[in-house]
Amino acid sequence: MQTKLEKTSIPILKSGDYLITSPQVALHDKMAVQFKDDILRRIVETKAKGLVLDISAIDVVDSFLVRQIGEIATAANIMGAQVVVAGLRPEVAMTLVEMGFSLKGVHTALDLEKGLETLRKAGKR
Amino acid sequence: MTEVVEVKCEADIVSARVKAKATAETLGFNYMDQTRIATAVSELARNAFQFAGGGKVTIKPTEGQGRKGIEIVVEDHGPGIKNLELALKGGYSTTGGLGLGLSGSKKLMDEFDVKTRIGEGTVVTIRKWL
Amino acid sequence: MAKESIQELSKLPTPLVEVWEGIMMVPVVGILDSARTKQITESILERLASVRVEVIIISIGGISAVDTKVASHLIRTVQAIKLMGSEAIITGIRPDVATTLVTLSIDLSGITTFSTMHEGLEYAFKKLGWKVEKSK
Repeated sequence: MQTKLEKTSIPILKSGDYLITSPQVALHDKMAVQFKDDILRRIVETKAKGLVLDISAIDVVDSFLVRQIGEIATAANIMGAQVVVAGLRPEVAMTLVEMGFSLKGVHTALDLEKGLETLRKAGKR
Repeated sequence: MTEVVEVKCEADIVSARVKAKATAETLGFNYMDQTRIATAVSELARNAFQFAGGGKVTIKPTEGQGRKGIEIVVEDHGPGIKNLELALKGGYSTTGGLGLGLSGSKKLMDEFDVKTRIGEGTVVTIRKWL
Repeated sequence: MAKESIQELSKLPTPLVEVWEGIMMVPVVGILDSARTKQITESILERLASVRVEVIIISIGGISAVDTKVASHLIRTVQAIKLMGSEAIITGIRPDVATTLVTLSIDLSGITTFSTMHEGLEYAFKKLGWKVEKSK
């Protein structure tokens, strides 16, 4: 059990104007909040124009994670960055829809590559 | 094959859903149903942790009316749910979590039962059939 | 179509055809019950994860009847596809099906629908930047 809020070891990489991150481990609640804080800090540090959050390795997304993702998107938008959530697994998409969650205000893409494409297109407008 | 997870911290919520998913897989549920089950367990385990300070998750195979399935019981000794009807409708927007978790899990499972007593605790029983 | 033939067709797995780069077509025929709709949705989503098309055309022209359950399943399918990052459009909505949906107060707003496959393909091509020209 983690008692300290340490920086999560989830790498957040920079690719030009964008940040890419692809968590490979199950995020428990405290980690998810810390991860959100790390992301937002990195956006400010790098003045990134966009973030691709690749969740293709995440097999269960519940209301808590959905809320964190929503908060990442809202805060990022305020800082002038677009967020694209990429790689939702079929089972995850189905479960979220059945529960009635919509990830409003968040762009989604089939994979990381398409996520970056979405950011580039959004940047051109 | 009964699995019991004591939920005392955030990481236990993940343990509970991982074990629920594994049991579901062993029983023969497909990926979609495994995820539905794991997500429902995650919601309920978190409710117990957030609103009751902790709880117990019991995962086991079950049978009924000639069908095989999975049954998960999440119990806590917390304050109980004051307005169960509202919570099940997805209400409690101020606390957000409780309402969403309960109504969300209900939608994902085949059977859903809540017993709650103010000041004593809550027991949620969910089942899914193959 | 004779009822027996419809029932036979319902037993066959629904094909998922990549008709063009980035465009998948799902021709749904026969009788749709909850179990079958669920199975079709799950197979579309699983295929989408590997084939990654931008547009999925779900053709329901061959469905014999649409009730509230089927309609809500269809809506959820479209929403799940959108959530994954693709777009689903529905074609083949016959007048009687449209009437049923209205009668049942089912809200299809937010879902792109066309009465013919032709229109659906046109939409898909346009979205992906393809132009169809007739050679002289």
